[in-house]
Amino acid sequence: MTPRLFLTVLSMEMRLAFSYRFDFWVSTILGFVLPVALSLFIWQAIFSESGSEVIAGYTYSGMIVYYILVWLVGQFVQGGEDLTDISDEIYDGSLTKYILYPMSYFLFKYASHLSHIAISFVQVLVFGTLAHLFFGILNDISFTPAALLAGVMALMMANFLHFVLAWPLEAVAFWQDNVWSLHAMTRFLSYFLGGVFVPLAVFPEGMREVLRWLPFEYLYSFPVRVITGETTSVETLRGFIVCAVWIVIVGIITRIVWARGDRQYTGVGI
Amino acid sequence: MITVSRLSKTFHLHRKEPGLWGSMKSLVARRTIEKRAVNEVSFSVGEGEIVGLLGANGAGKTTVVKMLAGIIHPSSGEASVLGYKPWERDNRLRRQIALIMGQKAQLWWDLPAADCFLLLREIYRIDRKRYEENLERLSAVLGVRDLLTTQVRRLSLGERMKMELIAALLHDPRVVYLDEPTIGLDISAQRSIREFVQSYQREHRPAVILTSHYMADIEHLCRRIIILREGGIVFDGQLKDVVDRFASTKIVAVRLQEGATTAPDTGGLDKLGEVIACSREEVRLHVPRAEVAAASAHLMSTLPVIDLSIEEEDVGTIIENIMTKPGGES
Repeated sequence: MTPRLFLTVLSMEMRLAFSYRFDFWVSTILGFVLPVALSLFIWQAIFSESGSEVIAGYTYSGMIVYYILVWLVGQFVQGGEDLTDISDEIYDGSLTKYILYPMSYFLFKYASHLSHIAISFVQVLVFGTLAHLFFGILNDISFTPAALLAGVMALMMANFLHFVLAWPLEAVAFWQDNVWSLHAMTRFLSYFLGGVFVPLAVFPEGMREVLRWLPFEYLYSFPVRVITGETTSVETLRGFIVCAVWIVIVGIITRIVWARGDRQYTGVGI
Repeated sequence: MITVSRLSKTFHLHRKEPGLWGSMKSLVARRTIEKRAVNEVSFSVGEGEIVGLLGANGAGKTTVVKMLAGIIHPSSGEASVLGYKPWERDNRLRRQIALIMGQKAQLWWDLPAADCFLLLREIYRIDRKRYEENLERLSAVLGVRDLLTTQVRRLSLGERMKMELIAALLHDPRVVYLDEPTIGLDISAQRSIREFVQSYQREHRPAVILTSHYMADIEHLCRRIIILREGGIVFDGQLKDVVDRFASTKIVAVRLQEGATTAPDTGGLDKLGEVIACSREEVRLHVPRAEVAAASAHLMSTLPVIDLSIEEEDVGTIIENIMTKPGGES
């Protein structure tokens, strides 16, 4: 796949995604306001019930900032809901045309996936600004060049890891007609173990040690902590390495699963 | 350009009994059955040749095309397209072939056709000059120049099919697979697609494999046909030879003088051949080829004949018979 084709796909998908404006705003507002408001209420209750100022290392306002940042990071990492298209395309036979074209389906999907980040960027800009006005989230972000670089790097790696992780699951569609329940399950798991539902600091130390070697926290919690400057440089470096190793492992699994699934493909519908 | 040798494909299908109970049973244990869709098929197609691939539904036509386009892997056997194994999907091969599917849209629904074509230009790395010439020529010939900026999903089926043709031919493929390109189209759209394929074929001389249910497509476009039945080839040869080889009878028809009060006695006619029609005005019979002369003479002498004609069987009917009846060859 040439860089030019990559850019063409990127711009085409961007135009497409922006053309669904209604969907864009509804999903943005519901997707942001609901979870943030929910965590606001829950943690308000927990803090007042316990009577302590600090829980798991977070003050109440620190906790709220964490949730907002995790949400914003999540937008970047997940892009749109576009990755489930892969299993749909296997299921309904649209994959056929991509098999015919002289290009890599994987890279085509990555270009298309990256274009969804452009949309996430708009969402993050709008809600980030709002969130700063209400909660002052920018005060918690360190803006030194090194920290910024590490933050951008953590985000890009998280995005790619999330992209790669989707493939073996999507490939299940070669054998099973419906992979929706798998999606729901893995999403729940990665939210729970990735620090979206609750900050990982809430978990006992032994569990956190295990989580450090699993891919999930590198999707959400890790980028947030890099951005807010909570990680030491050693921790940051180690995080990058663990994340990179997982990308390679999942990449290999994807290759194997995809090659086997491809032999099952019947090109339904024609 | 295309060589196929003992190509076979077996599908593994999950069988589920109907009803809720059947669905629940299939949760625990699924029964798989094997279906041999294509069975040891061998043929070859040369440059500039249009071969019609015919067969009833489920005879394996589309499966053959899918294997030759590299979409699915064969269970056994070999095929070579321009020197490549299609299912290995070498980019050098993929840049030279095209598959047009009447039943499946390949263009992106939400984009105007012009945007789809631009994307294809990048995918196939067509240089700008060639791209612009091809697009101009193809859209002019198909009469869709004004529709290029319309979203694909807003086009009619016929218009969309024309866009699919343009999309598939922009990169000047040397091998073209047409899978039921006229399905669902009205007569005039069918005709214009047919004429287009014919003129494109004359000018560019690609190797073409065409599958279609419409005899008109086949009769207009293909000199050579391959007929599949239950996954195997039952005929591979010139369309004009089908009649000679498979039509065991001719139709002998006579018009009778007016004034007769009753139709001729069918009992006597039965001995000559199978009676298709018998009335006061006309008698039509299927007569074995060797006995046509004798039967004609007999009719002339026994009935008040004013006109006699001897017709070949309709090629569509013959092919239909070959496709459906086992042992259609005589």
